[in-house]
Amino acid sequence: MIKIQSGFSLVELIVAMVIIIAITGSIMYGIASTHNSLRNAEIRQLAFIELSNKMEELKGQVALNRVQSASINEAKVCIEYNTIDDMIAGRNTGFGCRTVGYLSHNIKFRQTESIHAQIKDINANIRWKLISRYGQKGKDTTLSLNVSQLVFN
Amino acid sequence: MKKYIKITNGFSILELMVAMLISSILVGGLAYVVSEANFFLSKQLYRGKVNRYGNAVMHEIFSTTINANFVNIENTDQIICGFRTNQSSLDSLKIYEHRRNDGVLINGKPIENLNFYSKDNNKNFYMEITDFQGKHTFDGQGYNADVRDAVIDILLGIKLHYTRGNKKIMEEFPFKKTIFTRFAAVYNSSKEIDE
Repeated sequence: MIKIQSGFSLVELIVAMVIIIAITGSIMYGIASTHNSLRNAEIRQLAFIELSNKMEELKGQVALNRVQSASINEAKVCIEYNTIDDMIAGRNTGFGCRTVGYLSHNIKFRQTESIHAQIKDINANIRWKLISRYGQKGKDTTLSLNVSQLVFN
Repeated sequence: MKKYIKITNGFSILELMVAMLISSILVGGLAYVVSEANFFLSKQLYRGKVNRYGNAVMHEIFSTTINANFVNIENTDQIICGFRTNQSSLDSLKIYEHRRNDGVLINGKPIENLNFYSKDNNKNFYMEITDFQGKHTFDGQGYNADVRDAVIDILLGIKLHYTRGNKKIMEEFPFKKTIFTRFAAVYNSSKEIDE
């Protein structure tokens, strides 16, 4: 009597398992990467809002000729507050702030020939840490804004 | 002598059991991943709607305030912008205020082309305004009066409520917009006197 068996061999089974593990791993890695990318995009948008708010402040000071400080380096600011109460109270550190950034600005007077107007160049930038692959804070990233403000005498 | 050949084409009960176990683990894992992805997508969709609403409100107030001839933030939870077409008194007013379940209103009406997902009309998720106010960016002593009056912060707090099964989830979204009210620079007579 000849018995023919048509099952899978051990090697075939192991190869199938390796393929399944590889596919599952890539799906999970993809989900984690997408999550981090979305979170980084969200923080980037919030950082831009914080920077544009600061720029609006500086434009007001320049336009009114009442500059509080011409240059500030790496002032600690909160990019992302936990609650509206934290934002109103200005809790830049501790539990009130989810993401911290560092703001710098520089206001320069530009020489012009006009006696009726003057131009001031405002440069501001914000630095914060990107979220890396494993959800930890990774490398620094910076966003800059340059504005030229015309001031009539 | 007769020769018999036995060909086994089907699966044994053991093979079937192992196959079923592996398939159920795979299907279970896949179902979990799909449900997680679905929840994540829904959550992002809700969050996107809140962010879109908050940013659009801020943009609306910003574009009104920078062109207004008069801005008043002294009333609690109210921002008043006045406009004039000549040198006399104000022609029109735009009053921003809020209602917890109706969102931010302009002169008592909801902002056009902007969806506020209220509790009454939505089951899966809804928004709620928790705070809406204007305040001076430079408050307190040590700041120049012109700058203090001209630069304001508009603050808006929105709570997002949604469910996952029987679990209720709440997230807070704080929004802030700093605005330099341009009229202060144009119509500021004290600046000339000081200089």
